[in-house]
Amino acid sequence: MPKEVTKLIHKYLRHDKKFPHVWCPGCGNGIILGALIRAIDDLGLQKDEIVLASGIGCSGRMPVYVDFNTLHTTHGRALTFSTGIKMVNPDLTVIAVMGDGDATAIGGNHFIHAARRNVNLTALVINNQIYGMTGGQHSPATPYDALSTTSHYGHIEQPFPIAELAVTAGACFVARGTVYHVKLLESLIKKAVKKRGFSIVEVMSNCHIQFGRRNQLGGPVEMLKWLRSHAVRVDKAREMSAQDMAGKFTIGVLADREYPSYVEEYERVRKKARDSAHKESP
Amino acid sequence: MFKRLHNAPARGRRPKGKGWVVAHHERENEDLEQAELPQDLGESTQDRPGKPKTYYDPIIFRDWCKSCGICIAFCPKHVIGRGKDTKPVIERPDDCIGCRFCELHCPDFAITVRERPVKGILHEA
Repeated sequence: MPKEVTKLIHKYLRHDKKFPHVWCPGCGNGIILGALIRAIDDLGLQKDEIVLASGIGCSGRMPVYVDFNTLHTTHGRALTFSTGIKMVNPDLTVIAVMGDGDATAIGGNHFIHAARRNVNLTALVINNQIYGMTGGQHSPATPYDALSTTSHYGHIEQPFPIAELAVTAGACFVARGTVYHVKLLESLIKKAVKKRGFSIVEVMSNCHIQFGRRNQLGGPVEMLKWLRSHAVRVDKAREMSAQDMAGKFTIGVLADREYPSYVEEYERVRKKARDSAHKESP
Repeated sequence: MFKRLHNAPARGRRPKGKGWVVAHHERENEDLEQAELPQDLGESTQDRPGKPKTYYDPIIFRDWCKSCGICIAFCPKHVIGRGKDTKPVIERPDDCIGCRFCELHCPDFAITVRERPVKGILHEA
């Protein structure tokens, strides 16, 4: 008999917290939290081996509900706190959950440098294309010509392709999923957590309250259908022309490569320094 | 990456009512009596006669449900319909094929799909 999914999720939730959770009806954050819990359960990790850190925003509520070691940090600094945790205790599995604004605007600097340093972390960037919690201001991932409270006449900037940015910045494992393709998302999170080195999963999510409503994209169902019709698998996208790909995004594994991770390199340098100090001393 | 949906309700002219999802409200009017329910549940209704059909019971925790409508809209067999209080109700549990789409996509962890242990007997929630 297959596992009963909801029963499994309940095992990882903090039942002293107030449920149902604070997110809006149909919010993708809940779907992502479910996928994350299933991925962690499949990997067979214990609750105490995991650290879930988050920044500020809707996604910042995620660690509140799960019974791992959790950390709710300052805006954009989920990765910096996670780096600290990883350096102090490299045995822990550290996952940082961020929103698109949290990761690429306020914490944009930390994001690219964590990718460049290749610290052994997993970053989960939830891209709902807007600042949802603060009232619908445009974020670095808001598409061109989209409406938001700070772009009443259409957004005039181009968005960040977050996953491609991470590939260029040098992350070991980069993948993109959507909240519609939940099984794929689950396997991507699993691969990302297992990977040694900096791994990032960008999740295209729906914010029908702040983004969908202003841009006449409909409710959660219509936005999930929009995600379904605009996502193209990476292998399929290679065969498609640029014209066909216009307005769409790729899902799947975008980069999977091996670099020495920061924690291992740091240990190596420490050992080298210690050895040379021994030789020098009489 | 970005295109407005033309058939979505226009700004300011959203249909009244609590539920956000309007695409599937017509299902409420569908006559339930017309739906074909297997009469003899012990008998196989599948294409392969040798294999007995497995039945599933989708169960909804109504206290956690925020009636977003994802389960109602995406159910491939239209097992779930919308109740009068906009929350989902299981209308045709015998049609459930156990794909678990609703369970995996429920943002509020409010649905579980349970395999029915004894064939033909409804599982009490």
